[in-house]
Amino acid sequence: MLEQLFNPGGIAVVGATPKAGKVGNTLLRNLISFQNKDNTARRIFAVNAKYDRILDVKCYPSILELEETVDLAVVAVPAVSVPEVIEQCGEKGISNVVVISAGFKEAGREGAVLESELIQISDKYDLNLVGPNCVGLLNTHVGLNATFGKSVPTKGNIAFLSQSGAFALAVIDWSKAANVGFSKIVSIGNKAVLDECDFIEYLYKDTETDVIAMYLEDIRAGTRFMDIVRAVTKTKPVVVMKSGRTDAGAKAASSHTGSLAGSSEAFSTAFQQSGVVEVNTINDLFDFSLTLSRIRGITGGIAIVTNSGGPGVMAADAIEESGLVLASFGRDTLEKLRVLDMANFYNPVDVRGDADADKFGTALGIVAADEQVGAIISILSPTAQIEFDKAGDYVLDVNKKKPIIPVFMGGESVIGAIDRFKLHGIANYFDPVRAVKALSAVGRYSEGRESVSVQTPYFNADRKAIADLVEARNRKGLKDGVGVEGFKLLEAYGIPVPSCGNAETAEAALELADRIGYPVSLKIVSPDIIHKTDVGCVKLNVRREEVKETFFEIMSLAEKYTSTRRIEGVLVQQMVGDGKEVIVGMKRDTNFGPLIMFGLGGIYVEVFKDVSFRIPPLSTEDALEMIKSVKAYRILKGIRGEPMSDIDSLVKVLLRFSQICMDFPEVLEADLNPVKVFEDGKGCCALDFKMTIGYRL
Amino acid sequence: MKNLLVSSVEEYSGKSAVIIALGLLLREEGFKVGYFKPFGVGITRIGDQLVDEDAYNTAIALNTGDDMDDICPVKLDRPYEDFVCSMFPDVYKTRVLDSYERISADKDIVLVEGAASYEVGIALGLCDRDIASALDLDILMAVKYTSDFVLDHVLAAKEFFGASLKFVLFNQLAGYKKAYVNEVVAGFLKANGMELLGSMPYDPLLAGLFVSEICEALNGEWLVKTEEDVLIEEFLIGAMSPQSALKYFRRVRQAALITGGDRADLQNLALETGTIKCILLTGHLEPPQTMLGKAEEKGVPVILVMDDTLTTMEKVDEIFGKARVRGDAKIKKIKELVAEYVDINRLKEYLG
Repeated sequence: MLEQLFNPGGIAVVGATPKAGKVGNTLLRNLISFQNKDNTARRIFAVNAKYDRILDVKCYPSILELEETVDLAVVAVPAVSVPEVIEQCGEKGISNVVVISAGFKEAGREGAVLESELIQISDKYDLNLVGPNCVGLLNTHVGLNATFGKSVPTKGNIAFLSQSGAFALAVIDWSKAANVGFSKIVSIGNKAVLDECDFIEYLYKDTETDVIAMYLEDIRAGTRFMDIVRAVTKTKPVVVMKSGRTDAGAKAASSHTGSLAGSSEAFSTAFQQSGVVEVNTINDLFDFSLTLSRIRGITGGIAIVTNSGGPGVMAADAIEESGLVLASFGRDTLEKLRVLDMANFYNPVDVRGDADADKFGTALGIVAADEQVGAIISILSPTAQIEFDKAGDYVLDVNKKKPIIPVFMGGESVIGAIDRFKLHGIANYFDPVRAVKALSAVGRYSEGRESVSVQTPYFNADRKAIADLVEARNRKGLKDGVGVEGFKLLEAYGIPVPSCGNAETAEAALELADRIGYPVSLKIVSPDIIHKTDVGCVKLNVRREEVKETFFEIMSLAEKYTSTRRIEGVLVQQMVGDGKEVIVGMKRDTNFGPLIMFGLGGIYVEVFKDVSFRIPPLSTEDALEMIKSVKAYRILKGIRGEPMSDIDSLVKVLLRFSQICMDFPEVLEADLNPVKVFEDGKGCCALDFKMTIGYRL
Repeated sequence: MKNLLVSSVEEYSGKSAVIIALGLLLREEGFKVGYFKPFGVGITRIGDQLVDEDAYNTAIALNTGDDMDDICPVKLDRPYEDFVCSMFPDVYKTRVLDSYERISADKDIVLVEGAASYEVGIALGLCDRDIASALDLDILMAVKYTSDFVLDHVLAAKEFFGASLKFVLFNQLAGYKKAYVNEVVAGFLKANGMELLGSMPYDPLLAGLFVSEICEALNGEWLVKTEEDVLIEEFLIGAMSPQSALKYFRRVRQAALITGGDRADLQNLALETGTIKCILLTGHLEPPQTMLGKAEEKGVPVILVMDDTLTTMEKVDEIFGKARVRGDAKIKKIKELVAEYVDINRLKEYLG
């Protein structure tokens, strides 16, 4: 669908101008050099009512006057004129438009209205519109530079999408100096029509792109993003730098693009579940992308071959810290290395500072031949004996057989070798730790790809009854489904709960307790009192003779804390036996929908933040992984002679809770806190439940 | 046919709302309903007419066709002390009797609204007891259920009115006390010679303020003005992180967010949640243009105010809870509540 956008036969530059330094002039200048494969110039047209010719290109008063229908219009006219130009593009049958012009929603009310007009016109003519407020796009493989950047990167297999135009321009400029190749670069601007998902879909099928790198401040459609990326990452790595992770960053991003501050947990969880490699720095964005553009998998451990001990140790530390594993060499390898007279023939292999390039190359060759070695970090510091160019040849030779990351540490003396590496798409690192981190991207990609799944179970539940309940609450304007109604919802979904009921009077509490059986627990029901225990509004092991008195005591304490009007009653509940307390919660994220949280319960959970997240629907594997990935899992497994907890029943609770989240979009937040997990085989039980029901807007 | 005076133990107890709802419901059943407020203390100028704001609002809602000067014959148009000293009470009483005669002449039922609270006007001989006695009216006491001690206020009123206080209607009752009122308090009232006519729940919509009212009260500047004058039920102060704010944004239905102009993160989040219907920007800090564009697109009014957040909230508190029943949505809601929670048949039976 976007083929013509990236490889247009003819292009019109609307707003072209002879004034050097102006965007309309740079755009035209960049496009004039755009040629066909047979080196004939592509058909480029200028549109500007004031001129007949610009830069020796025929100029038309309007796009409607063009003698042919071009494939792409690049628009750089004042914002107020853009809707008319887009309308003309539609009338003329042009399907691809890049709107460079700024002054749209980023500029205020009038701009927002103009942007809405763009969207309407694009819908009317089914236009592929990039921007507005962007710097354009380029495709190195056909020589298309529809940006106002001054240079074009070399050809490569990394595509880069950027929500920041300035960053895109910086990358274009940097890429030339760094000799990093790109297949496509797109500045996605305000994403009025085409957004990151549309471009990812296109790049998925683009044979010239092997890795998709992105800088994003927000994601327009979280669920669609996950669906698309989940499919893409099976074959192509997607590396994303998402800014606005902190409160300060979110505030800045919100001012910059009006983006919405979704929770950083939601973004990270969505990325993890869809196989995205998430990074936090520009270095990582391109280090990871470059590594993944040539290395997709590592089968075996990591070998270090170095002529300097210190950097070798740094690399070894980094390998362990990043979750990679140092390779153990086979006997044959060790025998061969032993005879080379080195400081260390175990991993990290230290060929010593007096080694020359041949000795280094020989060691590299031996290590590369070892089946236990999946990739090599080759570290050289500039000793008098080493010839970097020659050593570089050895690295390039090994690179044909096994992934290798060069760490040629130095300045001028290593420039030649580094330049040769660049020609082969290989990045050199000064810092061994950074090199290892880049290599770890491969591991992260492989893990992410494997975890992309899967089948989700479906449980039968009395949805109608519960839907009625949610609807009734919604209608009455009650926002928090606390108390018995909440427990009914859980019961209908097969989540075990203790016998309970809501009492508005002491008499009613006694009647309920008689029915449930003693002892009972009494808990306040009020949306204003979240931490009930802290204000003395939870009473356990209450006997019959204590029920009325306890009811009044709870009410009296609660009324000190909140208005009578906000107290719904007292929950009378069956007491349950001993077990481990865990929390299962959900918050509906503004970008990705429900985000389920799991963690060990108790009052310190907010301090330790030992919790895991997943975006539902959950598979059994997801649920189990959620439980296993918290540090407190060991406690559930049983420590110091304690019995193991019933993990299987907890998995079922998570799965059924996941289904509630999926079935009821009105449920915006929900917490099962605590869920008591009994010993293995004895199940679990949700002791408390609170949720926020959204209004149907 | 008897007529009824709706009185209250304190101001802002919902007398006008109850009268509007009862009047409209009775009219739907074919009764010709009149409205009368003998002593108006909330005076305002509308056009060139001096009116009691409450009476004016209720008269418009009920549209009884009577002259405003008859609907509210005695208006507190100067300080009360001046009023008490400068005129003869008999003049007012005569005015009240004359107007009432004209109002009730062609009506099946006249709903009479008391002054701010039942003792107001006692110095003039125009308190609710004086009016009830002069016009031979029984009393329906509208009681805002603020705490259990309102029962004492009701008993005090009963002593004041004596036998004419027939009915009690609890208003703004919510939470677990509903059960107590219906199971325990009803019996208590009966034992004291009163009847519980109903207990209506608190409804945020009725307490709500229109955005235009808020803008006027805060002397605000419209940055984005929408065609529809939206009703605001709650106010939220935005000073926390977006993730913390989100749960509060979600728990409201028709809320205004009070925040600084520099909190683009909260403003944008508020515009997405759909529950924040108005943004009040304090400290005269202009917001980013992107936000205003989005607000325009979403139809959310944005108001810039000079005051800081604390002062703004204080001013809002001052006007909140004193909202009048005006506009179709509020009138529809109070009718629904009265129809559901008030024993209209018992009232009709009593009125004959």
